[in-house]
Amino acid sequence: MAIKPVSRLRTLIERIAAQSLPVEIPTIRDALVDLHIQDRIIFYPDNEMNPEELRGVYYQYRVRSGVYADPENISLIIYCARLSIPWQRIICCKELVHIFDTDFETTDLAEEIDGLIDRLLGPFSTEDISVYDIMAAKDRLALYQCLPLLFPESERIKYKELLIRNAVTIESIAKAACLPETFVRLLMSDEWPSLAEAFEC
Amino acid sequence: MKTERVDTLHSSLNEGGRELINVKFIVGTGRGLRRDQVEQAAKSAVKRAFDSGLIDNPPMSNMAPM
Repeated sequence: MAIKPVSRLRTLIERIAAQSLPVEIPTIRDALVDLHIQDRIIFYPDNEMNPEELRGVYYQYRVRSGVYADPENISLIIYCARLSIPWQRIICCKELVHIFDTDFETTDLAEEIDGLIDRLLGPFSTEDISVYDIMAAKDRLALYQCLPLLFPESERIKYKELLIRNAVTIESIAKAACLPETFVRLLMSDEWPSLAEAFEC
Repeated sequence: MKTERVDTLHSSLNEGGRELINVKFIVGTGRGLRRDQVEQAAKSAVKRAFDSGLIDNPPMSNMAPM
């Protein structure tokens, strides 16, 4: 029976595994660059971005500095600086996961941008299924797949045991991890290990 | 009109010698949000990022490791 190759996301998660809380975004970024998947990854805080309209953009592009120069693969992550630091970190890390998007999952055509945004804004339809529904679903999945990068499994197990003994609270864990409480609650749930396995993270 | 709006964002992501490989969004929390609002917000954000010189500035927790 063929052994499923370890995904690049899992490889990155394993590289972050020894980190203590809080895992900083540049630490994750540097590990990604070390994997030679992108030449540069840039984070831009946008103070003018209105969080009611948009909270983050992931823009991956290729550029040549000269006619005979090798192309440079760059990921630009623009995040809403008006949000709290924990939420800024979630947004940046979620967008980082898109570096692993397959050709099928990438959005690069005008109609794909159109379709993706429509699906992200609208209710999930079971009547008019299209590739954009799958694209939007994968987009939402990235929000969960990024969590093991910000909260390594060894730390999760440690804090879960402390929580069970009432030595810490969700609030204090969220502060230690510098993450929104809603995500910490999910990570501390009994369901998370099964979810992580299903999400392949 | 619809094609013009989409091409405007799409075109902006393919200008300046750049070739778009992938674009994703985390849309806002406003009720009744429209596609054109998201597209315009994204287009403006990308422009601001490049106008600023693309200075790297990731969010930091500003805390010592526990």
